[in-house]
Amino acid sequence: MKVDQLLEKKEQLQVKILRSLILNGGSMPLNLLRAEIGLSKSGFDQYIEEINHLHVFRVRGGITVDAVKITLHLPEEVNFESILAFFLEDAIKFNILDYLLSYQEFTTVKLVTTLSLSESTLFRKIKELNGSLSEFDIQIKNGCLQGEELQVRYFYFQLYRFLIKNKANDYSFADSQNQRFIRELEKKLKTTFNESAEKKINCWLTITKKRLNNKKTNTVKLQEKMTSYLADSLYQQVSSLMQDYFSYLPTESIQAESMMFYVFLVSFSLFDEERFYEYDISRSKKLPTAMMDVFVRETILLHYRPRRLSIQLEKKVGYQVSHINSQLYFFKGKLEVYHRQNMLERQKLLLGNTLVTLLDRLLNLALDQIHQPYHSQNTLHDTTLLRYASVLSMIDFLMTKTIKVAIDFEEKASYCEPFYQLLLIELRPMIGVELELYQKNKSYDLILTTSLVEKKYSGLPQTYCLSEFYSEYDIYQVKEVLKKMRISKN
Amino acid sequence: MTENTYIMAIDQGTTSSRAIIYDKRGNQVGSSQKEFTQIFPQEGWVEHNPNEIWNSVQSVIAGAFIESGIKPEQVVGIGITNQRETTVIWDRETGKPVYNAIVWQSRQSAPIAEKLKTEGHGDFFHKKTGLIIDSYFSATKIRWILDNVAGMQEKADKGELMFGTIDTWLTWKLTDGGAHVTDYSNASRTMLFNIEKLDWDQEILDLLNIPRSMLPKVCSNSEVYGHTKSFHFYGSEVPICGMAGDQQAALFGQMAFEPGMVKNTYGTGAFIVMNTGEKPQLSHNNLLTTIGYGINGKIYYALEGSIFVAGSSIQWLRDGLQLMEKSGDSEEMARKSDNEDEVYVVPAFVGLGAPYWDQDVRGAMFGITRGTNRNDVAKATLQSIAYQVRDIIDTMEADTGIKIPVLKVDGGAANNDYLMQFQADIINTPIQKAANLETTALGAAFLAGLAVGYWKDIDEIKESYEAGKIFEPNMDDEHREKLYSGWQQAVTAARTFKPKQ
Repeated sequence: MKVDQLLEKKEQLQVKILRSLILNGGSMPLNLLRAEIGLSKSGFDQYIEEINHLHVFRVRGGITVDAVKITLHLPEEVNFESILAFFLEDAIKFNILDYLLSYQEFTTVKLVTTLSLSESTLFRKIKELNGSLSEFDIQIKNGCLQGEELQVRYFYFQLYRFLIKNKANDYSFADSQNQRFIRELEKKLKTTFNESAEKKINCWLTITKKRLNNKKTNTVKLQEKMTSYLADSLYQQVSSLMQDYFSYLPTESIQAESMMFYVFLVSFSLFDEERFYEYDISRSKKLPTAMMDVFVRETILLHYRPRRLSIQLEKKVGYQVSHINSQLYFFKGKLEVYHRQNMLERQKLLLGNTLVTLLDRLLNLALDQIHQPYHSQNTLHDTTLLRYASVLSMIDFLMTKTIKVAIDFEEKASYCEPFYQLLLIELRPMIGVELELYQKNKSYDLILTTSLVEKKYSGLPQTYCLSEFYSEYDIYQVKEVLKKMRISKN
Repeated sequence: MTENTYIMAIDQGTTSSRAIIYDKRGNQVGSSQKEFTQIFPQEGWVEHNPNEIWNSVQSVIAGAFIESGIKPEQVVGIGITNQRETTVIWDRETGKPVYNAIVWQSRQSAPIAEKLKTEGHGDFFHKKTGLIIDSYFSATKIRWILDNVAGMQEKADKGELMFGTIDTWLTWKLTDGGAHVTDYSNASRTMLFNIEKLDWDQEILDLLNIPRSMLPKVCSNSEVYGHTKSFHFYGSEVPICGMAGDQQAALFGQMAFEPGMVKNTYGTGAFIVMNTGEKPQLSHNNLLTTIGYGINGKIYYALEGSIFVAGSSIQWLRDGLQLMEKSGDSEEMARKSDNEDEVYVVPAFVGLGAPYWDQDVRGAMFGITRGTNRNDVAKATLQSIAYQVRDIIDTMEADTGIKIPVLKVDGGAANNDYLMQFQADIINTPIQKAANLETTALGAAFLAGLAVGYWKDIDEIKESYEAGKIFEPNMDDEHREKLYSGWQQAVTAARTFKPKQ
């Protein structure tokens, strides 16, 4: 489910315009964008004008249009997500959800009065909302939000995390009771949470406290999924803390709260890598997520053989994979902020064809382990692909041995400096390439030179003879040489 | 039974864990390896996290399945081979280790060993266990944990603790607490095991105040110890049916089944083990007497000599002196050296092992002149490995009265043809390289396969034997003895310099 789906139609189109411009580097042909958005000229102009009236553009920035080109100028302190968050807070659908979290149930009369809506608008919005929420297996029915409690909280967590990230002050949820809980949790689990983890816990606890007022809590699927986790040491530690914290609740509710908090703890990167590793190596492999982690991680490692990842890098991979897998096992659906397809395309470009094939294999392997079929409607499945792709990119990036390249110009002619700068611009973006002007006392893997006279460089580096002017030919050839060197070096 | 079925060997070493799947012909059909963290709490201490070891084993098992495409149910037996002496103690009820695993190299219990020596228990231990008192073995490590982790002696006395070497720990985990066992070869490295009575020695246990209830049941090297719990073997319950310490597994993998057969594994150090037959032979020259393997009701004893620095001296040339880019370059460098073998390197970086057992001596180089170059140093370093092996071979022959007919070799440095030829020359004995250099894992697989009838008997295993390259000695006696005498002088000279004193 895209966050945009919670916005009003008008804002959805505004977001679409902004996103297209951002994905195209801030500027694109006017005709192309208009065709993409599917509006008449006057309608399109009206939308641009309204975007320019947004509060973020009041002082600076906005969209400029000339005869052929449309350009976005975002002030430095503003990003796309903050605009999205601004729209979201005003959206009727969000306000219905927000009301439901605060009061758990509503009467039509009360809600139409609070949100100043007509009854028909309210029913239409609820219908639209239910269409979007179906991915999470939750729905608004009989005046309340129904479905598995973990799914409800997961949905709200994503929604408010998005707002917290972009409107930190209004939604920090950090009250003293939460702080006490966090300190107790740290003591119990022998860890310290960083600022980001604390924010997440605050958010989860606040949602938890509000949802505790809900009269009917459904945890049937959670109970099933958690059966093998009841003996887990981390679960037991969480459970013991929950018994103190929620001592006023009935036993079965405490157990459900413990389960939900355990799931939250292992799914959203709250521990640091070392603490998580400590848990990972001691947890039982009876746990479905532990099995998934082993198979996915080892398949990744096998792919990189005969190269071996360092123990530290393996820990990083294990950490990322485990959190991705926990979400895949325990949750359904995903609230998407970013343009998934675009991100996936970019990742695939970075990774190359062989790794793209591996991505599908990893997702199938993970789903097989938990006996889940792939569902194209469940965006969590596709975003998992994207997250695995990030893990592979991370490995590629961290494993790449640096290729040291020097530029040795024959003379200090005036063309040298701009030539050097142009080479820098072209070659620096290549992962694992370090470029500098030649220094006698250093050794390099590759020397780019304009001299045809053979020189003796220390360490016998490869040399490439450049023409004395910037040419696309040379750039292409040098990039090819670097690609080959990267393969042989790694 | 053998069609589309396989044996898995788990080789749990000092720096990494491996799982290898073998077919009936002893071919590897899949494998995986994973390193784990080395913990150095203080100088001279080396520890491992037992859970991390267990986790690494679980991962490599999965890795071997992924690589080979073989299903867990196609594995009919599991053999375990392991870093020996490394000590784990865990809580019987929770299964949680009470302290890190203390690794064989770790010196933290040296004062306990020293005290035992000072009190004159040397002969007592040697006669019962075949070993020389040293912190290397498990006994003092157990004592150290009971002394240094609060409340542990009390828990041990109440029967609440369990001890095991890594084979025991892994079997206990794989069976989910179903089997607390070890084998003769691992037990014989604890310094608690009476190698003649084949039982934990009560007098030693009393002396060290170690309750018998902590200790695992000692089994033969090839029998069913228990079955994996399905959730620990990816859905299958498979018999764990072979077990041996790494050097003894290599002896078995090298098929050194007859008395007088010797194997040498060139790893970081080098371990030379000789099958001495069905009666233990105590060394008079500081070699260790140990159990090679026990199978079908028979026990085969062994003499063992260890060299602390073998392959690691080549790493020193590469990383310390930066004389070469890859270890493999040492061979070419040695061949390029045109001196007349007058340079000697004594690589006593951590003292000297058998037969000297001198912890205080340090490395030295002798015979260098203005003309000595890096090739000469590389050659002298390779030769030092061969000289140390000769020290042990000579001692073994003296102790047993058996002339060794052939030295079977494996391990990384066995790929160095220069070293192998010089080795054959300096011991004046043919060297036979294993066709499959992974003899340790193969030995564990053979032991497991025999227990479940995957291989009918040792004769059937012998049929799969593939002879590797043989290096015949090719040096005249006078030259050989001149060179070896130079080595002995170099060692004597090095031992006079004791920086600690």
